[in-house]
Amino acid sequence: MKKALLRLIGFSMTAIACFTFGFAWRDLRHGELPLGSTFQSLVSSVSSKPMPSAEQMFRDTYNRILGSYVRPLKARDLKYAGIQGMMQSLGDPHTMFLLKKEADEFTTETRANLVGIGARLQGDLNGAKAARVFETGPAYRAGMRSGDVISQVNGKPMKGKSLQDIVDTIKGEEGTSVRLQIERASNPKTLSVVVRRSRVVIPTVDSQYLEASRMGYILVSTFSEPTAEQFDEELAKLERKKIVGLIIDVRHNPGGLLDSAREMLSRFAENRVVVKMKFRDGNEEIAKTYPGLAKHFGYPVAVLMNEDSASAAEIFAGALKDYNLATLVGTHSYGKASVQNVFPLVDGPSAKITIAKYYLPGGFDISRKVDEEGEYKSGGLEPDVKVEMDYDDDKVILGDPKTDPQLKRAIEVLQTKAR
Amino acid sequence: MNPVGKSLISGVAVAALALSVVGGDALRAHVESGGLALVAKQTHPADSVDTAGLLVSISDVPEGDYFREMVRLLRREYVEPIPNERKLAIGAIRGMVGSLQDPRSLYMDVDEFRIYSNAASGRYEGIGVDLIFDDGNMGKTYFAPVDEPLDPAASESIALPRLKVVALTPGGPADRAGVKAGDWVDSIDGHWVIGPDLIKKFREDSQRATPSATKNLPPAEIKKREEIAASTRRLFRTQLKAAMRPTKAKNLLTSGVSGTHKIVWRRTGSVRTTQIEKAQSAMPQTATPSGALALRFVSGASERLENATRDKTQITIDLRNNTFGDFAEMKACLTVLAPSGGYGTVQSPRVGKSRAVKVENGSKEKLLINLIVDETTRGPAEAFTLALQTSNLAKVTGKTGGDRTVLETFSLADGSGYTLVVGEYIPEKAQTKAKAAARMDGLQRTAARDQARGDA
Repeated sequence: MKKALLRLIGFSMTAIACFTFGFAWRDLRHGELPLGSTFQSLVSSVSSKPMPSAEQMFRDTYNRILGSYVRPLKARDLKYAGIQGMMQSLGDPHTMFLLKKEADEFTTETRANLVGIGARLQGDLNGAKAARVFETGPAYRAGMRSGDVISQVNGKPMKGKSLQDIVDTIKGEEGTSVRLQIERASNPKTLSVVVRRSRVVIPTVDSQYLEASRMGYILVSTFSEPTAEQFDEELAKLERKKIVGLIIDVRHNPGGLLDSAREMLSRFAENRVVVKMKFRDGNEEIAKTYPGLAKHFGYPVAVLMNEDSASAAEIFAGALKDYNLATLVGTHSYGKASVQNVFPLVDGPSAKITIAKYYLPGGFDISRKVDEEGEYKSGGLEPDVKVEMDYDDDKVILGDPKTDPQLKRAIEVLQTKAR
Repeated sequence: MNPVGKSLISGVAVAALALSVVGGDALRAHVESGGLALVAKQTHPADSVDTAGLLVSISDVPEGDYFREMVRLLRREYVEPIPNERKLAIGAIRGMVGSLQDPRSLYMDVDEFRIYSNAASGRYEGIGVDLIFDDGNMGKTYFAPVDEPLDPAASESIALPRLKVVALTPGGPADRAGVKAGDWVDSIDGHWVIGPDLIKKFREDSQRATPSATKNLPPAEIKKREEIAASTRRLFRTQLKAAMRPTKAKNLLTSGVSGTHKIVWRRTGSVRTTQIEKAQSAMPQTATPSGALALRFVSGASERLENATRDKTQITIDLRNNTFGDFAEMKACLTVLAPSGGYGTVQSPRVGKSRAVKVENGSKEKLLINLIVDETTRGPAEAFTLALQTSNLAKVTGKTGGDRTVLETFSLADGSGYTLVVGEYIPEKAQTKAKAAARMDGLQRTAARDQARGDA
């Protein structure tokens, strides 16, 4: 009798042990112990009403809003807004749900290629201002210049319209034409131009020969597909002038393609580590510069950066610093230490998801930390020479050695190095 | 016992142990996802929407499937583990409510919702005020989402609602400091709550100084305009740098029971500075000195009203400082006081969505009803007043606030919640349909979003 009872107790305890093992299996598999709260939720889920599933919560609210809201809604827009909110709740500013239009714009940005008139537009009270007219584009050929304000498109006034509306009105099919009315500060009369929409490669690299110091200045605005090639072209132009120093400006460069930064770095060094990437499942990958593309820079190089230099721009600056091939001047960079992949979805939108974290060759983690307000606390790459600057100051012109304090300092640093 | 029996028992025992392991895992799945993993498969017979499925087939994916597949995609690819699916659902709900771009349809997190629910019952924290994001009847404009930081590049073309006081707890901190209904918040402790007025001034002053506006003016005038524009730009930039989000401002003023704040208030023609200490305060349950009933439209209101009117020939109800509550509860109160019949409509511009407000099994008693109202009587309280007034069932002292928006409030499983505008209350024998429709048009918005630049 006693033996049977003992056997029963032994069996029951083994059964309980097995059950607990099964319950904790998903944690044990990852080498962790289950949280106490997990067991707590077990008790509460058994004793109280079951909580609705996440999917159910989403569906219920979706249907309620669609059914009851006072204004008519497009079901698809509501659904997408929900998915956008869902991805935002991860708290990662680089993981997001892109609607088809946004996804297309993102692709245009990384490819640096589109069909249009070849101008970068900004909002203006009288329409849209062409902050930049690309010299290789049709707008330039038709006579437009940087600073021109577009006040009418095909006879329709643009004053008061949103920038996006104006851009949409100007864009169109390749080969078709658009008539633009231009206000130019230096001309009291209104000008009219007809521009033929063509395929335009967006310049992402600009250069300037700085006469006084005999140095070259190259502005890289994003790291897109053609950037490394465009860099080669601009550098060739400057080297013909026999520059004694080179300043590469990546301030306000939000980054772009990792591969583009890698290509540009390959001009400086071959087979060197660019970044080390760590993925979700613990997998690591190392990206290196390509062999056979490195050239000899017979002069010192400085890189200008600021808090808006992010991602590929930081990688570029950080790698050059690590190879001891450039001096970093300016303020700390943004601190984006992650890599994203864009997953196109069947119905048009895309999901841009952070798939890995990266570390610079030095090994350290530059990821940005913010406080509750979203204000910068720490992170980013630190410059070698720190120079603060007020970008809102109307007297400052970026790229002008007379009024740009960060550029001025970079020139001084290079002059000391050249000696 | 014979050997066959013994091995049978051993076999059963081993099977039972194996089942325990599986059972443990299954129960864990239940706990994690709120549904037994096995059962979930059954309730979605048309599943097999393979994760790759979202990437390659089907054209219009139903919302529930879309959500589920996106979660799966994240679980597979996102660099961090996804700890809590419900948090994702709440994020989705926030996104949907936010996309309405409606200053009156708002998501509230757990704390905000608790404060809202307490206030509906008359229990207040903070400085003792009801605040709303007032769109000021601005018609066709795009509103910045109130809980996102103000983007300086986009700020030139968006409108912002005002954070306005619509009611105060009598004798509460704000009331004692002289704050009045209709005041709106200008700044809190030196942080600006940027509203439509500065943006309008910025746009106007800047436009007046542009080359095309000053083409044929004398140089002295041009210089004057440029100086005004520069000074407004500086003011705007200063305020932007020290700005406080409207939602943060609202929460700061309505939560917590300690702490003193310097608050600057505006109303047309005046600016006032106050120092106010937060404390608990309450809306009265009976008003002094007459002992009138202060009726809040929350659960239990109709019972309170029944008890207050039983065996009575008259009742005085004070509906001041009564700006929100439950519309259904208000209807139940109408049923206590009014005979069966029609009492107007909750009008919606959507086809087939307008609902008549009908009282069934109404009161058969003849009751003398007195209502005390003023500009702080809004929402369900205003509808209640108008319903009784237009049917000549009540004598009304004062004029209501003019807010007939009908809101529904929904609570979510995690304790948060949201309000949703479902229509506007139009009393019986009131304005023509055309006028009501015109007011609805004023709520139309264009969802144009500006970027800092656009490549064309």
